[in-house]
Amino acid sequence: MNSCARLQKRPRPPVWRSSVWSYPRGSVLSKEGETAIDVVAYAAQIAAQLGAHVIKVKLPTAHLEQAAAKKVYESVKIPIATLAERVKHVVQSSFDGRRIVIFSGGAKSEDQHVFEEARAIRDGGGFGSIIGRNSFQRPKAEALKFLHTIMGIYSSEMQ
Amino acid sequence: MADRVQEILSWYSSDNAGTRTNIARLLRHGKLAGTGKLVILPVDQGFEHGPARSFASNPGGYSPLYHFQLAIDAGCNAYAAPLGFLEAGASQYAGQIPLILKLNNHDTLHDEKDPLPSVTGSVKEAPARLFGRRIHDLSRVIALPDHV
Repeated sequence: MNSCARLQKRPRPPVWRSSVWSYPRGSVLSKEGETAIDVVAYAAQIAAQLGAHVIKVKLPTAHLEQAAAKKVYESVKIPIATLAERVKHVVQSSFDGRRIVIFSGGAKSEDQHVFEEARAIRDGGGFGSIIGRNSFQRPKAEALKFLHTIMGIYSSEMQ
Repeated sequence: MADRVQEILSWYSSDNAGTRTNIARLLRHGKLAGTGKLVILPVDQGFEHGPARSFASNPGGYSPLYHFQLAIDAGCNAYAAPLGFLEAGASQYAGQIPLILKLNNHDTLHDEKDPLPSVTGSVKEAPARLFGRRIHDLSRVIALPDHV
């Protein structure tokens, strides 16, 4: 967070738009905690409070990392069982959906798995994906087909 | 579908016309233009994970130009990368795809327990290096600080 705040204090031309890649990590978090739903939602909130126009987070799991937050998730019964529900919660945590929130792809994985994630992002009201390794770590023709499938899912031309 | 872009822009009412133009540029580019959805190609893995882990499986990717072309051909909304990768193709691909400059990066040569990314570009210097000091060209670049 410090480095982000520092960057934002630097003079920036007024037309620049900021995206914040909000990935909590470090020794205070368990590995599982880095993508816990409470931690990801919190990271999205911090990014929004820092003034980000576009917020990028990792797709959250149903794990709850922080004890104080866990109590609330359980007592209020925030729906976090499905990936689409967790996406919806992260979008809600980003100023009630009034910020563009996109989700990172992560390490290279099975295409069907990535398509499943795109459907959950779409169904949860997320704004899209940022997909690096799954795009460029394969021959270009395959990459184009792969990306077009994802775009089709987002534009609802494909289920 | 253009209304969806207008709706999204309305959430950024405190921002000036230039910034809102940049947000709109992202949302109106590529195959998903106007839908309010985004697919962005990010290539910072060379810096973050090293060249072999990033590019050996598809060696075309060692070239910075490969990623510009991939993002353009796929119809992505934007291409995001650190300064070096962007400036290697910014001129050749000028105006063909919105660019997102990644201003901080973390390398894994020193893979510490509590990662602290370095600031590897600046909003002051980058436009001059990417677009040759023409102020109105700033609107093509988008600042992208990382948050850790």
